[in-house]
Amino acid sequence: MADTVATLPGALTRAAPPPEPPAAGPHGRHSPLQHRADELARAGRPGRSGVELREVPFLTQFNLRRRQRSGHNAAATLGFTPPLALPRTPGTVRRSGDRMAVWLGPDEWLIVTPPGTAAETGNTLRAVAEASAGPDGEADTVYTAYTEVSAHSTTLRISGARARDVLRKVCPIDLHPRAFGGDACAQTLLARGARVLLVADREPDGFLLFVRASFADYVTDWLLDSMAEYAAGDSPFKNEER
Amino acid sequence: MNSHRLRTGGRIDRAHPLTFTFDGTVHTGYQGDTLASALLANGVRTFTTSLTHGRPRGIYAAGVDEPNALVGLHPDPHAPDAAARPAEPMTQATVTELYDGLRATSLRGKGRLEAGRPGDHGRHDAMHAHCDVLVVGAGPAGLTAARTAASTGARVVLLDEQPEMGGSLLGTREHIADRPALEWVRHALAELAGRAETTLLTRTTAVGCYDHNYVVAAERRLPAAGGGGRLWQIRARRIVFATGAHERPLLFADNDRPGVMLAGAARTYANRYGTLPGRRAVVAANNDSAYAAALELADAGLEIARIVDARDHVPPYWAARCADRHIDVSAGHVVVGSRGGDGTVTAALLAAREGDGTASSAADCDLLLVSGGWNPAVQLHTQSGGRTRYDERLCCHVPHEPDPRRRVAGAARGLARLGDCLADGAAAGADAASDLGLSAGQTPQPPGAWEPAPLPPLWPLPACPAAGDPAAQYVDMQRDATLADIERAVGGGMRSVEHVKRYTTIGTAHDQGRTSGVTAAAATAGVLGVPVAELGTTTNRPPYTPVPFALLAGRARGRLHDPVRTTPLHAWHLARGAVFENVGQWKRPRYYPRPGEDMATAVDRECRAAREGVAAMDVSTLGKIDIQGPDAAEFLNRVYTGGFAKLRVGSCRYGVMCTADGMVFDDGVTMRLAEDRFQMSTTTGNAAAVLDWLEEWLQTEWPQLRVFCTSVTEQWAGVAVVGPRARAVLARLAPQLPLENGDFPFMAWRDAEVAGLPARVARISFSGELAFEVYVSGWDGAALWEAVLETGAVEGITPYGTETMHVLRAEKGYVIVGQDTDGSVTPQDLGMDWAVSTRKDFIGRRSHRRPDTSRPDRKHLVGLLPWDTGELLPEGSHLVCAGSGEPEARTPVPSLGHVTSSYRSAALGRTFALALVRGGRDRIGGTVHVALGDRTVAAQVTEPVFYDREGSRRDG
Repeated sequence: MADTVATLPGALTRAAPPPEPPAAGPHGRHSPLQHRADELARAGRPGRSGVELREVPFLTQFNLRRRQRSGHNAAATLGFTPPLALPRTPGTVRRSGDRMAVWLGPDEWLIVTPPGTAAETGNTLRAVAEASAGPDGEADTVYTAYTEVSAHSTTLRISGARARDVLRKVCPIDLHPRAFGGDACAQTLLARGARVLLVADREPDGFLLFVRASFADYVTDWLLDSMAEYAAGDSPFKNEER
Repeated sequence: MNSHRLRTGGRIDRAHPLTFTFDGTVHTGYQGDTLASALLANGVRTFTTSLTHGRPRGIYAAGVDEPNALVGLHPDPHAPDAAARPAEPMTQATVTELYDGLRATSLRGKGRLEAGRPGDHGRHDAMHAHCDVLVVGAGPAGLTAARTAASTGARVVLLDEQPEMGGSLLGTREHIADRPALEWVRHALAELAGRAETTLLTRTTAVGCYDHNYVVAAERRLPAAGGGGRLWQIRARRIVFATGAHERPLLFADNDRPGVMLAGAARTYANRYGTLPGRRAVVAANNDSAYAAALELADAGLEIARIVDARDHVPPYWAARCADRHIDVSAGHVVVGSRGGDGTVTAALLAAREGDGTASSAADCDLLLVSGGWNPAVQLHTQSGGRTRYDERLCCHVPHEPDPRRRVAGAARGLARLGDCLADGAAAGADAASDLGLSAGQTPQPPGAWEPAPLPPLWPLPACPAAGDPAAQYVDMQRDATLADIERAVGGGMRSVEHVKRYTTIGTAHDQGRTSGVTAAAATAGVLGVPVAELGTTTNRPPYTPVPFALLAGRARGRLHDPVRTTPLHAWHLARGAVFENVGQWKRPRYYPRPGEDMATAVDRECRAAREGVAAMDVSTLGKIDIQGPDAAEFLNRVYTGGFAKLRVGSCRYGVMCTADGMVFDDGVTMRLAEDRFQMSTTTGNAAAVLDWLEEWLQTEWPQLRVFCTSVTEQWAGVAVVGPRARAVLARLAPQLPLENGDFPFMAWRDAEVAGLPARVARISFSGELAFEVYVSGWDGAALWEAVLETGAVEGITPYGTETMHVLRAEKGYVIVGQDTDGSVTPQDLGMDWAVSTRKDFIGRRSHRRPDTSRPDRKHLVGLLPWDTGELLPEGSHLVCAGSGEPEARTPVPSLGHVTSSYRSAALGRTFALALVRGGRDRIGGTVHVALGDRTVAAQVTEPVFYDREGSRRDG
């Protein structure tokens, strides 16, 4: 089960994994790709020209909406320790410790925190909602909504020198470091229309893919299919893009 | 063997011989050959016969412009990897790279798919690429363009259709800076290969250029490696088209004999493949390039019998060189015909250009090389909206006012001299990069103004119309279309080059007019007596070269074809042998057959369990939308036809939403979680459409409403526990949760711990039975499901699927949006006035007041009970009146409506159906007929509720 130990964007596999929260219920909880962990581990190829794919299960995720009545951007700083500022720049993420805020839209963010931290994150979001609410009806009143979506999507981490090539087969986004830097994110369609959120991982050549749980198997099938030529180590195509 | 192969030279690997079969004969060639070059080396001259005239034809060109040499490729059935090798029904021998064991048969214009081997078995996939500068074509201009662009640090993609880069330089003996040009090519490629941001793609043809510099390119994999290919989808900020030019043919009688060949093609066969396509050649030309070809061929050992130049004056440079080699030149002369023997050319018939067209002499030859000038390959340029103008001196269409985002360089814009092409490419590459703010410091200069020597007037027609039979002057050899066909088209009144193209079919074959297009336009203009520039040219459309459908499909086949959505319980459903039904992109269990059960038996068993005991269903697929904000209740009040403002926290309500035209769009149950928070459920297939619909109204019509919507469909897994014993099962699962009707009434929801899991329980029933829907985190879905089934085992809890759900809900007359409705049905048509508020406004309300939506003869939802209780009416069957007259008198029979749902009911012990029937509520008690092929079935019209009309069962 080492492959399903919950790890986090940023801290990810290098840091010691946070303690596993207690299994809920007699039969245990299941992440959407838990049954494919071994398959994912076998499919990759470590090393310089390799690529690896893993599920990062059970991340705590909240969808956060904030809008000022006047329509102005209502980005704020969330009172975690250390604090986590919401990114204002479209298509970027802000990280703080093992937490991450992902820009989804002018008034929408995804807050990602370690597994088992839903209560803490919920409390922090409630605090920021109450702090900025102000008297109802004023122009500068900020309306906030937050919703837990931890189980709504799961996360795949794809890494290695070939990670970009694997993604380029299924995703039209330009993932070159010049265009998609270390703090980049994008919502896009993968393969034949699965909606995903793509986030640059802290390590170079690494990407986090947030995919809705119901699409996880389909997206995984595509990624494994795209990985096959690199995992085998001998590409049938002579033309290799750098 | 290899009777026409030179002893040395060429880019073939003589140490690597290959054996292949053509039309049943075994030949040898070398690594680096094309099928065409290997056949020419083996002395094969007549390749096939033409499509309709049955004339012998030989290899005419050396690349994608080849009109004649079509082959089908077949895997060797005895080869160990035969299954992996694709059959190729039709391709050009001139672009087919030779491999050991290749088996080809010549085609007469048409390919044939092998019935036993349908499909393309190679692996095809796709790759997206992004770059600053895309350079299409790696000839002299493309290479310099890529070099200068790459030197600025730009991300460059350079692609070329050939197996190696170099373009025209591969087939000539040109020099660059006093060194052989191919040395320069090698140096340039090494430099590009060392650039970290440059991608080099060979065997890759840009087949289409679309809006926003989106270029689609097809990469081929060698057939010997199993075939297949990769579809590159390239988004380029700037493009340089260095696509080169194709040589033009000449028109004269019998210009299609084997042995007639483009001069540049013969030059390529000699230089690149070490093959001489003949022994003694006559060269017919109207431009300088044919001299370079003739001289290189002469140096390679081909006897040049004569050069026939339509121009009155031979440029002194070329005249001197011909004199050095004792090559006769006939200036001011043209070829007006050819003689043939045994199918192939034996002599060229010559005449003075200004004469009466009568041949004045004949020159013996077995090779008649023609060069009518060069057509820039402007296909990609014009596909992407670029314009062209007709250049009178070059006699061709050249790019005009190119868009700076898409430059054209080198021969593709009409340049002919190597030095000019090199300079032009360098300038284009640098300009493209500098547009993007990238610079390498020095800006290459484009070539100076160049005045080409004009081609002789009236090209391509000979001066005298009597010069040879127009019916033997082939404009398009693939289509066997001649000058006579053009004359006939014009004689028939056609004035547009597009009409002439379609009438004669010129330019519609596999090469899409690469050799014939400009010639046809010029010939049409000549027959019409108008300038070519005035006539214009035909439109180029993608793809530039044929693309296999298998390549466009790529990996999106089988299970990768379309997204498949599954619930957290999917593994259980699979293990239990569920038969699945596609609902939108979801896989939902339709029923769970036990060994030996068919669908009817399984559904009957599952229905009985739900009506008599307890049954459970995976309802995780229902769309769920979290709706928050101070105006959430007002928003729902406007969206749903029913009222939601007064819904109490802890309760839920069924709602119907309509589109603005008043037609039912979706339905579902919405829970009020807090004063300012609701959770809406939608139908499974409509979840995304409903969220889009809500966002559309919030963003475009009601931005002042303080409401946020978030999809939480997969956040929750849901299990419906249904049946008279449901309460007993739930009592053991959730001992802390009061379940009696007083504490937990119908249409209430409660948060509770169920099976030790944090859960939300709602008393919602889609079956009419006592039912609880239990929702937990998606992670806990499987645990909940297993706990429900374990706990309910005592009561014999039975998992059921969508088919049973459909029967149960239909027995109660509950509609399924999209099955019992079709976008033309109002809530009133469904008899659901009770769900439509009369005291508030909502989307679609005004439309309900239109005369059309209150017509008494609208189609109403009613029940049908077939007279024969075993008769299952097919869904979609049309209903007609009970007739009295003769059958003939009743045609055409007006349809009263159709059956929307039809099932066998365990509870009723008979079949029943729901139907939309014109004026249906007024027909209740009457009879309608269902036409089923050659018989007619009678059914009684009833209320659309068949079971428990009092609704007493939902409280258990």
